[in-house]
Amino acid sequence: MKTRMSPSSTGRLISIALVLLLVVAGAAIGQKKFAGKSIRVLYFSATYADAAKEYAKEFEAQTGAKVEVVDFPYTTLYEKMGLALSSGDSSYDAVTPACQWDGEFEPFMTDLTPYINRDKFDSNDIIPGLWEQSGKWNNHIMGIPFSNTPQTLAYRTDLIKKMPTNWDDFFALCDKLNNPAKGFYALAIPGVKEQFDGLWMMVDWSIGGRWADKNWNVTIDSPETRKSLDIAKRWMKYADPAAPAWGLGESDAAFLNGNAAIAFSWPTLGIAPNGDDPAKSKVVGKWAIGLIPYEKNGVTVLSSWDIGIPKAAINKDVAWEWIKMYTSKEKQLINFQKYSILPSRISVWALPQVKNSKLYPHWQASQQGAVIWWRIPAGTMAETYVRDSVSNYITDQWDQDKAVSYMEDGFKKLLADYPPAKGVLNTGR
Amino acid sequence: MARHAAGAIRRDQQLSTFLGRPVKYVVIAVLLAIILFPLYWLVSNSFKPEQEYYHKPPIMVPIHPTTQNFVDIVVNRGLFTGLKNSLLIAVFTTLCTVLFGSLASYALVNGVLPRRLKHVFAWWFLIQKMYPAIVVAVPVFYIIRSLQLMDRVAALVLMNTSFNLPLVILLMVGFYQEAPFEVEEQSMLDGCNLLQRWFYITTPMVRAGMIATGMLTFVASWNEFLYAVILTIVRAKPLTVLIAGFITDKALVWGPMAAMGCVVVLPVVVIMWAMQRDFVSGVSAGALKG
Amino acid sequence: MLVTRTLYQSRTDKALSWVFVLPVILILLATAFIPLGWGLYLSFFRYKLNLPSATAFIGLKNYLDIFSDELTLRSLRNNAVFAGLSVSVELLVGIVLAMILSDDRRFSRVLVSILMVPMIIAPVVAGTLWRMMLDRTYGVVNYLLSFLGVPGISWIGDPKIALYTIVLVDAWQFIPFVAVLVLSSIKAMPRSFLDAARVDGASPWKVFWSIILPVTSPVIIIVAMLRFIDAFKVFDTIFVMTGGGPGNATEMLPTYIYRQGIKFLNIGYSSATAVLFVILMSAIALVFQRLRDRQLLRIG
Repeated sequence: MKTRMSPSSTGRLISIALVLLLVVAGAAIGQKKFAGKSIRVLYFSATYADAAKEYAKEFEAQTGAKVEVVDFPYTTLYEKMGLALSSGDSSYDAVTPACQWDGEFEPFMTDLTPYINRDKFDSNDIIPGLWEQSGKWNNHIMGIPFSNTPQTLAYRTDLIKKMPTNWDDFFALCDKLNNPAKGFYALAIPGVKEQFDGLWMMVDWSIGGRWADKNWNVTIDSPETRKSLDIAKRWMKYADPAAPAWGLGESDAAFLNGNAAIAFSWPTLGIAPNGDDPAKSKVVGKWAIGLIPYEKNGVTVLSSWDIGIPKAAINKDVAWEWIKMYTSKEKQLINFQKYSILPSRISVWALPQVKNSKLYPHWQASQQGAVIWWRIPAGTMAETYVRDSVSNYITDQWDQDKAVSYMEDGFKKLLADYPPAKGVLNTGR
Repeated sequence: MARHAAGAIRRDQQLSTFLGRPVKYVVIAVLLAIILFPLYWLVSNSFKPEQEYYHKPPIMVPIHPTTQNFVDIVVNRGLFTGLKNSLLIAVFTTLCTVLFGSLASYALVNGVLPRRLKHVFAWWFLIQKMYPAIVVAVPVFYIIRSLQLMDRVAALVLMNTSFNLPLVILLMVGFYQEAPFEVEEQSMLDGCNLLQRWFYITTPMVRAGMIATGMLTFVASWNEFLYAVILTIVRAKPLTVLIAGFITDKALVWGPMAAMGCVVVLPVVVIMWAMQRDFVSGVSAGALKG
Repeated sequence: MLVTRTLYQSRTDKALSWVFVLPVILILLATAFIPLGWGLYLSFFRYKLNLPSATAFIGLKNYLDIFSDELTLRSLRNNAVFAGLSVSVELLVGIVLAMILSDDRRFSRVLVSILMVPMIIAPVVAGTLWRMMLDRTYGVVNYLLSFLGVPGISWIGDPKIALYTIVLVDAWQFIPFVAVLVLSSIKAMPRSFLDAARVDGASPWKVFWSIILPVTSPVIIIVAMLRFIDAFKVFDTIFVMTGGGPGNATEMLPTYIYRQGIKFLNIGYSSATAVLFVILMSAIALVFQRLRDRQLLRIG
C-alpha cells in the first residue's frame, strides 16, 4: 500500500493550505483591531462626557472596541475617582482627573511617555504651559490635557461697552447698573462654597497674592488676601439676595434670563452652549466673554482636565487609542464647535473657526496666565480650608482676621502632616 | 348597658373638645396644605417646559404642559434601568430583612439560648442604628470589592438589609412577646420543633408586624442614597443616584429632575395607600410593645 | 426590654435557635462589626488613603485632634441644636396632632394615609424639592408668603436661618411619624381610665395632662429616642440642600465625617470620629431606655 503522497496531492495540499492562510489573513485584516474588547472611561458630567458619548459609537465602528462612558457630577467625581484609583480598582481603563488632582493621582496612573514616543504623538501641539499644569507631574506624563478653560466672565454687550481693568472701575460700573427695584442685578454669582472659592482665588492671584511661595512657605496672610476678601464681600451687595445659595446652574439661569449684567461663571459650561439659543436664553446676541479685571497680572483660575490610564487598567492599548482620538485635532475642533470645550492644541486655537468665535477671549486669558492651586495630595484639603474660610467670611460668620488665620493655620498643619515629595515645587499659587 | 353607651359618647366628647372644633378643622386644613402642596409642586414642575422653570413670579400651573421631561428621563437618563435596580434592591432587601429579622427575633424571645446571651444579642443587633452609615463607608467599599460585588445589586441588598435589621428586630421582638404563648406551648407538647412553630403557629399571628416592618424596609431601601452612590458605577445604579446626578454644573434642569422625583415617590405612595391599614396597626402595635 | 422564655431544652430546638440568629450575626459581622473593628484599629494611625507614604502610628493623636478642631465642635453643636429643636418640634406638634385626630371617625383613616406621605419620600427628593421651593428669589414659598405681606426670606442663604430651615424640613418629614405612633397609643388606651376621670368631672385639658400623657409616655419616649438618634445621622437632606453651608452653618457630624473620610480619604481620622460617635449614641440610647423603663414602672 502506498503511504507516501503523490506530488500532485502534496501540491494540492500546499495550495489548500496557502488559500486557507490567505483567507485567515484576509479575515484578520478585515477584522477590526480590538474587536470584542471594551473599555470604560470616567468623565465629569458635563460637556466632556457628552462629547465622549458621541464619539463612542464612531470609535467602536473604527476599532471594534466598545466604549462605556461613565460620568459623575463634580461633587462626587473626586471621591469616585480617588477611591477607585487608590484602591487599585480596575473598573476604569481611562480616567479624566482635573488638573488639581494630578499630584494625588499620579502614583496610580501609568506614565504615558512610552506610548507617546511609540506612536510619535504630536506633543508640540499641546500648549506647553498647560501641560505643565495639567498632565505632567513629578517628571511623569500622567495625562494629556484636553480642555483649557481659564475662568472668565460673561457680560451684556448692550449694557457694557468695555470691561473695566481694575476693581475700582468695576464697582463703579456695578453701581451704575444695579437696579434691585426692577429685579435687575449687576452681578450673577454662584454663592455655594465650592464655586465661590474659585472666584475669590482668581481675585487674590490677579492682585498679586499667593497661598505659598515656590518652596511651600505659607504666604496667605498678606494685604492682597485681605483686599481680595473685601472685594469678594462687596460683590454680594450687587447680586441677587438668593445668590449665596445659588449653584452654577441657578446663577447662569439668572444671567440667561436677562436679570444680571455680569455673570461670574464658567461660561463654557452653561452660558456659551445656551446663550444664543432662543428657546433657552433671553439674551441672544447680547452677550460676550470678558476677562476679570487685570489689576496686577490678570491671572485667573485654570480648569483643565487631562485624560490618562490608571495603572490597574485592563485594556491599556485600547484606552490609549481612545485617548489619541479624543485629543486629536479633528475631535478638538468638534469639541469646540459643538460642545464649547476649549482646545488644548495650539493649532486648533489658530483655526479661523476658533479665532473668530465668541469664545476666543479665553485664549487671551490663557496667555495672561491661568493657574491652579496646589496639585499635591494635600491640595484638596487646602482648598477646603479656603472654601470654608471664604464662605464664613462672606456670610459674616467670621471676621477677617479669623478667616485669614484659619487658612494660614490650616495650610501649615497640612504641609507638616503631608509634606510634598522632595524636589516638588509649588507650580501653582 | 345604657351607662356603657353613655360612657362611649362622653369619651368622644372629651377628646373632641380638646382645643375645640374650629381649631381642629383649621389644623387639619393647614396640615393638608403643608403636606400636599410640595407634592403638587413636584408633579407640576415635571410637566413644565424649560422656559417655565425660572420664572419670576413662579408659575403655579404650567402654561404649556409637556410630557417631554418624562420622555427625556426614559431616553437619556436611563430611567428603566434605575427603576429596575431600585425595585430589585427594595424587594430583595425586604424579603431578606423580614425573613432573617423575624427568625432572629423569634429566637431571642422563644428560642433556646442562655438568657444573658439573648440580652447581649439584643443590644448587638441595634448596632447599625448607633452611627451614621458614612462612618464605615471605606472599609465596606473594600469588603464589597473583595467579595467581587462592586456595581452589583447584591451589594446594595446586603447593605440595606444590614441597615434595616435593627428596626425590624426591635419591632418584631415586640410582636413575638405579645403573641399568646399558650398556642405555642400546646404545639410544643404535640412535638413541633422551633422551626415548625415559627412557621405554622406564630407567623400568622404576627402577620401585621411582618407587613409593617416589610413596608418600612421597602421604603427605606427604595430611598437609600449614600451607599448606592459609593457602591455602584453603571449597572446597578438605582433611582436615587440618578436624581443626584441632576445636580450638575451644566444647567439646572428642574423638569427632568422633578419628573424623576415623581417616579421615585409614586410607587411608595401607591403601596402605602394600598397597605395603610396593616401598616399603621403594625407599626403602632410594635412600638407599643417593643 | 426583652422578655424571654425558654422551656423544653430539646436539642433540635437548641440547634435551630442558633441557626435562626446566624444569618443576622453573619450579616452584621460583615457589614458592621468588621468594618467598625477595622476602623477602630485604623483610628490610631495617620492613614490617608491616597498618600500611603504618610502612614504612621500616632496613638491617640487623632482623638486629640478631633477635640481641638473647631470644626468638630461646630458640627457637634449644630447637630445637637438640630436634634434638640427638631425632636421638640416634632413631639409638640405630633402630640397635638394626635390628640386632635384621636376622636375623629370620619376623616382619620384618609388623613393618616396622607399624613404618611412626607415620611416615605426619599430624603434626596425632599431635599431637592425644598431647595427648589425655598430659593429666595425664584422659590414658590417666598412667593406665597408675599401675599401675607412677609418679605423675602433667605431660607438657605442666610447663615442665621439655614439651620432652622433644615429643622423645618425635617419636621415636615417626621411629624407624621410621631403623630401616627402617638395616635395609636392613644387609641390603645383602656377606656376605663378616661371614664374614671369623666366621672370625677375633669376638664379635657386635665384629662390630657394627667391621664393621656402619662399613659402614652413610654411610646413618646421611644419615639423621641428614635428621632433623636436619627437626627445625628442626617446626611442626605443636608448634602443636597446646603452642602454644610453657608460657611459651616449647617455642617453636621455625618457631613463632617464624609468630608474627612471620603473627600480627604483621611481614614484614620474619620475612623476615630466614628468610634466616638458610636460611644455617644450608645450612651444616648441607654439614657432613653432607662427613662422609659422608669416611666413604665411609674405608671404600673
